[in-house]
Amino acid sequence: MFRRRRKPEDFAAEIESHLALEADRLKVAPPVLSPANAERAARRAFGNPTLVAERFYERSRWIWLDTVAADIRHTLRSLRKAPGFTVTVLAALALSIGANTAIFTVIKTVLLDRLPYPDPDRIVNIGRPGNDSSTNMPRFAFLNQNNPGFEDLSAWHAGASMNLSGGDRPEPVKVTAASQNYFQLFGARPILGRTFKKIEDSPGGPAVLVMSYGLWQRRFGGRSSILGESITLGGAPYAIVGVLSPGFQPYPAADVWVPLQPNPNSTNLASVLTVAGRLPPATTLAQANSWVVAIGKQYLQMHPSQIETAQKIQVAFLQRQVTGDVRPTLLILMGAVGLVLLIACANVANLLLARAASRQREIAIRAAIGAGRRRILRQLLTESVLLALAGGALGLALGSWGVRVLLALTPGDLPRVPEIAALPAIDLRVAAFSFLLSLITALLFGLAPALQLSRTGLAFSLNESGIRAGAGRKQSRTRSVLVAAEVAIALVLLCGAVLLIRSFAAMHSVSLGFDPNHLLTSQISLAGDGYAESSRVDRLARELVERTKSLPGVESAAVASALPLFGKMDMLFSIPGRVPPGRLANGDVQWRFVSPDYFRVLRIPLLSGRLLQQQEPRRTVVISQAMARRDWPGINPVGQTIFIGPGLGPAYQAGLTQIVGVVGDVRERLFFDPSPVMYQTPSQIPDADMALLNAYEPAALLVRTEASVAPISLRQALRQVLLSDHNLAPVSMRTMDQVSLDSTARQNFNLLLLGLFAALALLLAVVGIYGVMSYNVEQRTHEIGIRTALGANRRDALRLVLAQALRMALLGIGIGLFGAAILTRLLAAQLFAIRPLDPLTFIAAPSILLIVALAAAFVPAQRAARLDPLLALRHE
Amino acid sequence: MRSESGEDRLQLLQGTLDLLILRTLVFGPQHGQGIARTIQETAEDTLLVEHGALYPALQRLEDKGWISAKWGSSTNNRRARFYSLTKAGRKQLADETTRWRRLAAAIGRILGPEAQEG
Repeated sequence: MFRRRRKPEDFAAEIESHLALEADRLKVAPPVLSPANAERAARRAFGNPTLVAERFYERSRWIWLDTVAADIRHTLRSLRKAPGFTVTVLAALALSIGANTAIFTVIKTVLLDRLPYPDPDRIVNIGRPGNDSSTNMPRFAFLNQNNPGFEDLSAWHAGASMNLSGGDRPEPVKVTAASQNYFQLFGARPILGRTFKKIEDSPGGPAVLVMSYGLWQRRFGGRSSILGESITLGGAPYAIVGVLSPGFQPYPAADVWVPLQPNPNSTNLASVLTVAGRLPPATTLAQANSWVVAIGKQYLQMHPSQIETAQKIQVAFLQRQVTGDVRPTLLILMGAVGLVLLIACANVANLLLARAASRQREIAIRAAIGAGRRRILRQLLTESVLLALAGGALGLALGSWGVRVLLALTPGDLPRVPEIAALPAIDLRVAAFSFLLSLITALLFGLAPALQLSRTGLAFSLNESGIRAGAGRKQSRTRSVLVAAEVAIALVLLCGAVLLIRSFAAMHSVSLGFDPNHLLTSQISLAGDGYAESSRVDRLARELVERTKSLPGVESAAVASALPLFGKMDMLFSIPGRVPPGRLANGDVQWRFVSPDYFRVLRIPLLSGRLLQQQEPRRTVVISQAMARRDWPGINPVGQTIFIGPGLGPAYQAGLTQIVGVVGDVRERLFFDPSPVMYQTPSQIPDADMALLNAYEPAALLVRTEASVAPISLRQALRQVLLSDHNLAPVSMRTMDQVSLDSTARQNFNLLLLGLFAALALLLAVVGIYGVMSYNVEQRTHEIGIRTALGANRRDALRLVLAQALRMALLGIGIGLFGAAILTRLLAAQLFAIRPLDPLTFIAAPSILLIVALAAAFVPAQRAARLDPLLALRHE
Repeated sequence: MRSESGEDRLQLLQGTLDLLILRTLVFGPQHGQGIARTIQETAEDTLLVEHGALYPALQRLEDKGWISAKWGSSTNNRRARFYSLTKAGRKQLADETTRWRRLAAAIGRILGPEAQEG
């Protein structure tokens, strides 16, 4: 069928000859006909020659390519003639497909792509269940010594950033303390030098480091002579032994690696290590889990005192671990952009229907001259597909730009961001996704109008008044239903966005427990040997506070182990005489060191006893109200003694400590209720704990400025104090308001994107309503003219149109409320203090939509009201 | 668009038109109009064959290689495309004729003697 056997002219000649022969016969055979009648009779006997010719034509040519080419030419011609229509459709499609492409790009990389390491499907994480899957040093050392079969078993501690000094100025760098196998596990090869030797990764081994390609280029100009050179990291010298190749995407993100030097005799029970390895081929997760359970039992038999810190350890795929808690967020966003796409489809279908109305004559003529229904359908679908593909191509471009914007907005904790950034401008899978999406879109928005249009009755359309009487009304119903659907979907998105806005407002109006105004904060890295001793931190704190207080405009200053809203470190404690049987501790609470002025700087109220002093007579602690209420219900705990660090190694125990005061509660996380906290001065923290605290989270300098001074204006002066006096690089310097805003970065990100999508949905719905109402007014010009002529006034016309819009909007809102009630449940986990069925949201969102819908209908309604009855009656 | 006096004529069964064309060509080469006429007259006008329907069928048979065609002159000196049976076409006709006879006989047996029909 792919060869052209006969020319159509040849076939036409044959048919001509047939008709002539038949006519010849009829002229001579009885009953003899006149030549004219004979010819007519011959034609009648033949049937429809055009149809026969078409069937011949379809059999004998590359019919597909041929008609497709013709259809495309025709479509391009007709689209060029309707630029308004074309631009609107393309814009709607490009925006929605672009949004889908951008979100899909992120989802593809973060959730679908395999991790960029060797045999990623076998890399597992071994630690406590949960997102922060960690374990402690003795457990890792034990597992390592009794490794049941994990390949490249390694552990790492991704700490706070460290101060890299030496060279012209210090800078904070992200450091991971990694065991020797880490590089093997992740396939990280050095481009220069080597990774760690066994001896370097043993307790007491030499201080060496490996750095990323990026840091090497940025700070050391890519000099190959740096191997063997010494640089200062956290106040101690390290020898550079290697630089990793540029393609390596470190997990977790880091610029410097130092040896973990795991010590089997360690008593450090802080759960700060991430342990990972590769499953041997053909080993299941269940098998590996049984290994780990057996080893855990063995371990506890040997260390019965650690029952308190005993952790349930499980094996999970690292991929899952890396992407774990962003999965729901990303899937919700994907759902949201999917809804936006549906609205866009409904919108484009509407525009196509409107266009169809003006094309009914054209279609009818084509049908009349012999085009079959299938042929017309194909022509119409070609138009849809062409529009969708063009929209898809624009969307793909818009999407790859959108991804860059998305990355700029992303909260710091979105995993695998460097991989997304490293994607080529056109990723094949993303392009395939957009292409498929375009085709599906084309079917969604193109099929209904095409079917309806191709069904157009001949007589109906060729006879102009026919359109007005019947087909118009049926079409108008389809269009109203489509608009109602748009309103419904837009309402779902709007409800989601309003819920998130309400949640955001609730989160940021919650009482923090301190006064965040007029506070400038700077995180500083005390990680490393330079501040491993409490006395040095204590001295630093005093000097920093003194020096800062002398700056003009500063009211007071304090140093703490972590910023409020960002603390992570907790500690065990026991109440002598009240320890539950069979246990060692009464509980586990947040633990912070603070300089004595901390409470005055943050304006945390003292509720009982006294605050901390620079010089304490003995070991003392101030506790928060939540801890007092939980552990000493109905009693004033001031004067009571607790034991800090029961069951830990001696070096990590602060020992018997007296409670000297109770202070007000402070939120540790904006969206959680205040948790119990213990505060001590830096000098009372055991050295080993100090090193741990500093390695785990950056310390903070907090400065309260005078009411007349903008906190941010002190940035430069404060930076100078840190740099010149102490050679410390500020990790980040922000006002407390900014800190509180950043502490909900993930929620802000969700809100921003969902808000954006809801706005897009609203815009598309407005275009839809406006389009339908304009079209209806146009269609009913005649009717409105008659009404006006018969005495209806302008208000009646206005009401007529607005009532119709109202019906559409209300139908959509009804359905949308139902959908929103079901779908907002998915948002429950993202909401703070707001229920998914929040009544205010379910009143506000529909009200907004209703107002917007009526506003969109108002313009055409006014046009109807202003109609001149005489002109309207002549309109036909 | 069917011819006007169609009601009392029989519609052709699917695929029987091919058989009729092949059968008609047994008597020698013939052009399209001739084939149409022959079928109509032999069947004494009981069969409804729209002349136009013949051509897709002819095209199909030609594609299958059962008939071949070439332009020639008709008896009254008009140019016409003459079709003739090929060797494969003869074999096909024989096979189809056998098949059709067996089918007709089988259906006839099931329907019973003509007299019983109302």
